[in-house]
Order: sequence, then structure tokens, then C-alpha cells
Amino acid sequence: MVATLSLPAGQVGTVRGQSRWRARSEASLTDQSTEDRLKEEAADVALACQGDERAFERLYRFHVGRVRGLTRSMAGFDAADELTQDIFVRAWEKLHTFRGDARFGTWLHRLAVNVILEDRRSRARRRAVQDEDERALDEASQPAPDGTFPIDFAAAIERLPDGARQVFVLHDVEGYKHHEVSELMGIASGTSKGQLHRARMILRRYLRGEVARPSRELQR
Amino acid sequence: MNGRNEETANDRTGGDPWLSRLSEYLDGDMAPLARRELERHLAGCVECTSALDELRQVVACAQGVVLESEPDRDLWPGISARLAPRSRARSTTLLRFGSRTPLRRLAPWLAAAAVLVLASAVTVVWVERTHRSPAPSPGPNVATAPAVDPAYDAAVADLQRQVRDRLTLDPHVVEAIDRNLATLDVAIADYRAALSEHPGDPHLTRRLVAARHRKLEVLRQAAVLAAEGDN
Repeated sequence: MVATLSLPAGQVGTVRGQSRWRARSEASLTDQSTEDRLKEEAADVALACQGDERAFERLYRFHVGRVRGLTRSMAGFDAADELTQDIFVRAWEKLHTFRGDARFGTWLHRLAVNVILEDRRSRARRRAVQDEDERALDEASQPAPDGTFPIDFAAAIERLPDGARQVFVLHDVEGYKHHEVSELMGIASGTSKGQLHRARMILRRYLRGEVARPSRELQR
Repeated sequence: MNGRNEETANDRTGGDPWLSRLSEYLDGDMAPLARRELERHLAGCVECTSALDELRQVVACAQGVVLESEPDRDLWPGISARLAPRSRARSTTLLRFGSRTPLRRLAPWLAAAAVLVLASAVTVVWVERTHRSPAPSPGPNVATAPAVDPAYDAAVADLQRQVRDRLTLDPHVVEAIDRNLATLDVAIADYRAALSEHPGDPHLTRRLVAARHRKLEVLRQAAVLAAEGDN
């Protein structure tokens, strides 16, 4: 069951039932093509470990959409491309630490989250006052310039305040627990819970303004 | 009791205090007592009931959204440009491992290289032997192809001597190197045998040269490792 929202070109927003990245990455093998794909991926990882850039490029091509989607949601559109590149460069450098205990996609996801959060901490240090949060909070539930509310739920996530956005993506989209989020982000578990609630309340306003259109799409 | 608490919080925030705890309730993080109180509250509070429903929708949307976003431009060239120097740096790092950690860490890399070459050699030789028609007219002798190269053999012998002389303190490494070089030698011998059946075959010649190059590279890395291990 797949429902795709009507989105502007290049926007995020394919919506599927029960299809988080982590779940997909760890899902049991269901068909031959998946098994073949995983074997190919394992071979590419082994080759890339030995310095084969073409194998690494194949890994990049397969995973770039998910990595950029995560990056865009957690760090924003403007930083998405550069961070995506940083993540794959880091993956190249760290490939020798990948031991195959988990799927490569899972390993890459964790690495991506770390790179994104490192970048966030770096940016936070440079930013003395995070006063943009309140502005973002208002913007997140503002109608688009043409008077309509944005259709894309993922786009609404991108407009959340910084900390709330990252907690929301990690907890509600990616399925991390609060103690994992707090560990990853270096914040207290209570802060994680507070940020999550804040994000949900903002998105609730968004959905209310949207007259529940995305939710109907989801229920198809 | 609950009413007094709400009133206090209401005075402070100007809103229903239970609103701020709805996510806690939704995620099952609320203590049993508070949970029961909230459920009693929900029975009579339209605002909180409505907010709870909306929060459930938010969570449902979040669980359904797939964060996939293909870039508008190809990011690979930018990545590739940054990989090249790091690839070389990584190679250096590998060699440095030897001076800080057990040298046997090199063994898996040697094994991987050897297995790759051997698998490739076996496949190529098998294909050549099973799918080719009998050798046509005699081509140039294999001795004229790059398969035999005294300078190469001398370089290999010299590197082998360097490695052997310097790694006597770690027999595991010497053993691993010997084992993997032997595997590479099998691959090289197979290519040579195939070339003797199909002299001058450019495909086999390229494979042979690649295998010998790999052997030389493995030996070179081992020699550098050995030298660093001495320092």
C-alpha cells in the first residue's frame, strides 16, 4: 500500500505504510531480488573496503536518496547536499570499521545521524542565540504564500525548530527511543521528551490547518 | 487535587496543563497514577481529547513518511574528488597500524587480495579452457609477453627478502604473508599455463600483469610495514 502525496518536483513525500528506513534495513528477506541485492551490496562493501571507488559509487547510488532525505529532514534543505557528501566521505573513511553485524544501510544510517548531529553541534557553537527557533515555530504552521498550507508533511518537518526537528525525526520517524536520542544528541532524556512534544504540537497545528488532508492520504 | 494542580498551572501558562503531557501519555511514558488522572480528565475535556487525536495523527504521519530525497544534482563528483586523497591516506593508515597494533591485522587484507586474484584467475582460466576452440596457429611465445620479466622477478625477490628479514619477530605475519603470496603465485601460475595454451591472448596477459602487479603491491606494503615495525 503506497500513497504518494501530490508534491512539487523534487520534494520529499512518498508515504508508505510501516516503512521506516530502519525497519526496511533490518527487515527479513522476503524475496530473491532482495537477497540478491544484499549479496551485491556485501560484495560492493568488501570491494570498497579494499579501495574500489566504483563499488563505493554503487553503494552511494543506492543509498543517496535515503541519506539525503534524512539529512534534509534533520538539517534542512540548504545543508542537505553538503552534509550528504560529508556523510559518504565519512563512510568511505570508516568503512574498515563496518564488520557486517548489521546491514550496511543500518550502519550508514547511524553514521549519517552522527555526522548530522556533529554538524548541528558545530553550528550551535557558532550561533550565540538560537532565536530563530521561535521564528521557525511560527513559520512551520504558516500558510504558503499562495494562501494554502503545504501538502508535504516532510516539508513541514523541515520547518520545525532545530532541536525539536531532530528529536522528532529520530523518535517518531526513525523509531529511536528517548534514551537513544538523548545519547546521540547529548541531551537529557527529559529534554528529548520535551522537544518531541513541542514538535508534535507544532505539527498538530500544521495538520489542523491542512484539514487532515495528509492523514486521509495515509489511510488509503 | 487535580483541579487545584490544573488551576495553578493554568495560572502560569494560560492553558490546560494536561496538554503538555499528552505526548508522554501517548508514548506510554506516564506513571500509572497520572495516567488514570489524565484519562479521567480526558473524559470531560474536549480540548485535550481533540489535541490527543491530532497528536495521534501526527505520529501516524511520521511513521508513514519516508525520508527519501534524491538530490537535484549529482553529488558523486564532489564526493569522489574528496575520496582520492583520503584513499591514499587510508592506505598509509593501514600501514601505520603495524607499528601500533599487532601486525597480523594486515593478514585479512592480504587474504582478501589473494582470494580476489585467485578467484579471478580460476574463473578466467576455466572460461578460457572450456569455451575456447583449440589453440589456433602458434602465436608469440609466452616468453615474449610481459609474463616473464627478470626485473619484476628481481624486485619481487628483493621485497620478499626485506619482508622476511624484518618480520622474524612476528611469525604470524610472516606466515600470513607466505600463505597469501602462495595463493597469488597459484593464480599467476594458472594465468601462465592458460597463456601457454593461448599464447599472446591479450585478456589473459592483462590478467597476468594485474596479478603480478597485485603481488608486487602486497609485497611493497608488507615491506613498508616491516620497516615501520622496525622503527
